[in-house]
Amino acid sequence: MVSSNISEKLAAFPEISHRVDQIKHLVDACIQCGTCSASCPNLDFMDMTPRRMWRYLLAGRVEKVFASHTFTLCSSCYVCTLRCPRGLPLTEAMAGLKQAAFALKLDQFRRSRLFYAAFMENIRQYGRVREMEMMTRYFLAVKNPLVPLGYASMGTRLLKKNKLHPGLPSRGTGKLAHLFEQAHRQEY
Amino acid sequence: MTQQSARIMVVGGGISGINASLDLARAGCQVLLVEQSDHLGGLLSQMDRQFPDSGCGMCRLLPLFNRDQTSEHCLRRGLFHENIETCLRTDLISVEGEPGSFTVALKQQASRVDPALCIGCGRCEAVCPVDVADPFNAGLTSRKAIYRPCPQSFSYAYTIDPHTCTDCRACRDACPTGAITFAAKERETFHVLVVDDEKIVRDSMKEWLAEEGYQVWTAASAKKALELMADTPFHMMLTDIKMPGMDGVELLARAKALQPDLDVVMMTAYAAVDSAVEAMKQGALEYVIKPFEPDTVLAMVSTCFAAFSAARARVETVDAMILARGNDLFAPDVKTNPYGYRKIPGVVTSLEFERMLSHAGPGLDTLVHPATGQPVQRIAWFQCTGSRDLQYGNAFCSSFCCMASVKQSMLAKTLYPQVTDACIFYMDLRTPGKAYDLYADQARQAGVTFIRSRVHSLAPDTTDPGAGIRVVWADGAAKTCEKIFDLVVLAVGVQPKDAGTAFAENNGIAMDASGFIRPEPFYPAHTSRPGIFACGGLTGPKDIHESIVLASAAAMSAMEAADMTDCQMSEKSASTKPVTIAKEVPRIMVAICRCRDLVQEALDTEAVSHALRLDPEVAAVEMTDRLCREDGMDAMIAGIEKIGANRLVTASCAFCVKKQQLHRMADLADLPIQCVAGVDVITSIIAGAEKASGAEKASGAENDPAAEKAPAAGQTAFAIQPMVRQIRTGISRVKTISLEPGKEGGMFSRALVVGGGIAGMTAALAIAGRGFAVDLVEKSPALGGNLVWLHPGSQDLTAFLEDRKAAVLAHDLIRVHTRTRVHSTTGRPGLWETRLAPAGSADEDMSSHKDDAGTGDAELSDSSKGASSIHQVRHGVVVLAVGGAQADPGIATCETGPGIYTQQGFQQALDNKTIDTGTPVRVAMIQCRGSRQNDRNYCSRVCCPRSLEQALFLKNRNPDSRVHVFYRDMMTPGLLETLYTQARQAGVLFFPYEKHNPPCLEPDDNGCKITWSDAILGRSMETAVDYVVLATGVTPNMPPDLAQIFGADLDQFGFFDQADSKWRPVEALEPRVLACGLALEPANIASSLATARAAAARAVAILSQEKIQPGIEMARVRNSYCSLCQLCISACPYGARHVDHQAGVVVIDPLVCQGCGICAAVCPSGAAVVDGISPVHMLDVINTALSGHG
Repeated sequence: MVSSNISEKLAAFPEISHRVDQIKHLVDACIQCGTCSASCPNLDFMDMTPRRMWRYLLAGRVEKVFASHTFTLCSSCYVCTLRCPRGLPLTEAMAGLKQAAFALKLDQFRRSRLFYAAFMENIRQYGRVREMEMMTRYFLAVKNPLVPLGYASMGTRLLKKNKLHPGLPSRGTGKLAHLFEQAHRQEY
Repeated sequence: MTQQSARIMVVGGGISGINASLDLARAGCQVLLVEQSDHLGGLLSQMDRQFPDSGCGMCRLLPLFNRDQTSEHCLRRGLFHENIETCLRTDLISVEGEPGSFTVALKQQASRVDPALCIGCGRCEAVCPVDVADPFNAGLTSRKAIYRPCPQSFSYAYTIDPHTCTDCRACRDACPTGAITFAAKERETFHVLVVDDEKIVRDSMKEWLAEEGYQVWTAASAKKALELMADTPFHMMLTDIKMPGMDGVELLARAKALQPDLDVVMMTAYAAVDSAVEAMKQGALEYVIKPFEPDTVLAMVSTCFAAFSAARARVETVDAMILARGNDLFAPDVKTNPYGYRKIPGVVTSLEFERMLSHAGPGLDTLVHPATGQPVQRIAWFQCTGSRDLQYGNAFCSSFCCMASVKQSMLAKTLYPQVTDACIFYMDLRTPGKAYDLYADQARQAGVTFIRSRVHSLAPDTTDPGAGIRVVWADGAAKTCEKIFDLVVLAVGVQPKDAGTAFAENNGIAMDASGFIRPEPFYPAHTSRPGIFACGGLTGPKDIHESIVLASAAAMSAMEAADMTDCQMSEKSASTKPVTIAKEVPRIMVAICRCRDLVQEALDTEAVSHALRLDPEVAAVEMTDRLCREDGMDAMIAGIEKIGANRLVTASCAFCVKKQQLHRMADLADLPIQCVAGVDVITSIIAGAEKASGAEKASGAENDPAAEKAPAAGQTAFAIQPMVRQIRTGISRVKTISLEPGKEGGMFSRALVVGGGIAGMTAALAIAGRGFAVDLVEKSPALGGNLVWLHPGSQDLTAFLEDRKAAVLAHDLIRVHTRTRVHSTTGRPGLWETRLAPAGSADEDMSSHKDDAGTGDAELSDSSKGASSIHQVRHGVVVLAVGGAQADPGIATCETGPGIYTQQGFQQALDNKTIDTGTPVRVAMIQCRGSRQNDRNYCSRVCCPRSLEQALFLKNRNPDSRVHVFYRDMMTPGLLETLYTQARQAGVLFFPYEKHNPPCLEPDDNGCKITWSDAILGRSMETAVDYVVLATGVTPNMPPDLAQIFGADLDQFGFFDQADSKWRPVEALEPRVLACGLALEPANIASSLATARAAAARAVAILSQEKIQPGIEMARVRNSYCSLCQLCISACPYGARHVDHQAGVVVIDPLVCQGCGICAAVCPSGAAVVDGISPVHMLDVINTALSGHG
């Protein structure tokens, strides 16, 4: 069900499917040795090992790739890229998959996508993260009252330790806006 | 009587260089073998055991005939052949000229220890204060700056490592024979004179130059300089121009008058270019403007020094040269070093592990952890360390490491019961050869675990080195696994040697992108420069088998380039002394070498002499000195002539009992070699002295210097009896000798080559090129073999095939018999008379896979017509090049369909364009279909690269084509790995499968559906394709009776059975039966061509002997005693004996018999004897040796 939804979306966005093809070419020379999987620090939280994910990608089963959340868990530590005997840019390919998945606006990545968006918007505005405001914007975007509740206990603990600094939202200096636009232009 | 024979230089004394040298030497060429390091053997000197028999066997490279030209001892201990001159520690500086006359300059690093004088007593080693890591044990143990290069070496001689020696000269003082001299280093012999009136310039120049090692003099004025020059010769002068009194320009003129060869550099304080130019006109070399940087001047001095040094280099003229310098092992601690080599205790390289396995290695007989010293129980091997790794720029596979790790794991598992776990982590297990897969299976049975996974890195755990190393890997399905190992062995790959690369660059020899020498297409040992050949690791990663074959091929090519057509093979003149010398009453002279009074100090030589003279046949006992030197030997010869002795026994050090030394003595004394014996007495004297001094120390009797003589006297009494006994053993060796000339083997100097494929044609051309007639037999109507169906895909191949065919047909010495087969043979080896019959006329099964070869052209029909009249050919050697064919795919009926091809069929369809590759097609290629399992349990080598080429072709024609390759292990060893990478990059999909779970085919009208279970995805997959290509591998075309009629065998797979798969790869036990190409082993075109040339090299070496000279020691049958029980025939390890049923006698082949004496030992009736070692003789020697031990 999820797969068919993904296939439909891919068909609807040919430019994204083209980008996925380009990502595939990044890892064409993969010999499936498993170095990336074994070296990944987040492997335990993934529903599919990176090796299997690359295999699906190479076999053209993109819907399988997007049905998993493996690539969203990549923390860009670059260990796999460093260790890959074929010298493949695996971290770059992971990032590419993230972008493609968000661009497709797939339901299962909605929260991830919104979180990233809130984070980046915060950066764009202030040049740093103002946690309270970022989370508020995220909760507003998610439009699900249950989500903030899930963070309640962590929030209380952080407050007790004086780690949260409530501040009134401002427009920020917006100095990074130009940089963000430039990056956006280069990417698309 | 000998004409000038070809002179060929071999650069590199590793196994390739040794084999090439031996091949050239046995064919009669003079070989100059140049090696940079201090011992021969290269990497193999550090490896004790090889696949497949886990032994060494290197000695099997030694020539089987003319055995007396060579020394038949272990090749790892040393190499001696009359036609080979070995230069150790020698660099090749330059090469100029062209084939037939290369001028080469060689620079030998001066040895500070004279190998002839060194008696290996080890006193120098004991006093040497330097302690460095021993490279021979891969750094696992330490050695002194004076050391023996390799423990197994035949030579006792020590050598000094100039890089670590501190010049303390303690060893020189300790040496009892004066073998050590501290001659000036070469730079110290380069004299530089600095003339300047400014003290600061003089002093700083002197300091700079002296630091570089040059000998520097300074002079404050021109007058002073001239005074100096009157006494000392200088090589270079640096002079100021403006000086008080005589100026620099005048000094230049006067200095040049005194020493015309002087190089002069003018130094000028200001830019007085005019006076400098004036000086240049007068003969100054160069000028520098002050102030200058030290480097400017040093560069000039170093240029002059290089010219000085080159002028002193040894210059030789050679006809051709073979480069065999090998390559380096990858150093795993460069760059990121993910496995923590040298950081994590217990991480070792495969070479280090090889030394740990060696009995001469750091652990001796035990396998212990290098850091903790505890026995090692759990060992892991990491394959592809530094190979197949684009991050390190090594795009190639190193070829040998998989088999090396399989061997090491098996040795560890079988030799050391303590080893509980032996795991090999691999990506593809590359076993690309005939018996390689079987060996891997043996390892599996021995309990070695194979894990298809790459370990990403190792984390150091510095807390406790004994705790082991945690290895984490991803298994096929999904999870990570971990295990603790005591030892991790990194199976390091190879890298091109920097020196080799630089040499190739400087001499215009083409290299590939990785830095290996690129062989010319279809000429595997040719470099881009004519007359210079290359073999071994220099031309790309190679295992031993490939290196040996390529070395022989290079030897063949070098012989061709040297073109010896008008020179005859040198033949050693037999001694002029008549055979009757054996019957003469022995008049024995015993020569005892004083060895610089070492012997006299140790024992009472008068008493020894007296004891020896008790034997009436001992005519004289002479004391001589320095038998190792010319003068010593001359004195001894004079003694022989004076007393008219007809036997000689020398008692000296180990150097003088070497075979080459005994040969020299025999030649000088004009005695047959059997009449000369050498006894090493020095070694036991040293051992006795050590024992005595040990006892002395224990008794504490050494404090009184006056008492020194007393123990010496005691020692004399102790040592005299053993020494006399030793010398008497030598005496009894020469007393009874047999000089019956061994039967010389006759031979037809023609060759028969069976099979007209590319291997057969190449072998025929190479043999005919050396001037021997060849009969080439081909059963099909046309020449070409497998290339007939292969060539349309490649223009180069077409041109090559046509060229070779034309050359074969045009060659005067080659008779081509097409549509012909070998019917039967009579005669004996070397004198074969073989009947040829028209192919297909007999009832035998001659299943032909070359039927589609075409009907043959006019020329061929002609030659076959001509051939049909000849029914019988005579020949001395036979080369079986019958080729092979694609294996029967064995397709079940449910798996046939229009889209299912064999690999050959698919290739033909692609070449004929019966498949439209312009439009996207879906193709599945199934590797190892029926091969590497059951009765064909070998890798065919050709199928993986061909599938990759076909896949790339399809992808090039249309990138939208989908190509799936189902493989077990992608066999792309060596530089073929790039093909694999290219195919991956082109988007070809690869799916590994297990032997027991192959992909399942369901053909239908449109193509085929394939289902398989994917190990990585952990699920079953399916896809529909238009075409399925089955890579079935190759099978040999060798009819069993063909090999058998020539006395050779087939192996279990039907290939030609080699005498030894590693060391005698192209011949049968009967050395006149050779094989090459696909009949020998699975091979691609390049390796077929290499085996063809290797076989030709062996054939030429045999044919060029006018008659086979049997060795001195050779078996003989006393027919009257023989009961024809034939025990000796089954016992003979060389297959040298057979029954001549007509005559009713056992016949010995003089070429094959190696004089081992096993026949004599098994013979119940004393009929089998070995000439040269008769029972009387041996028992006498044994009796003498044991007398006094009663």
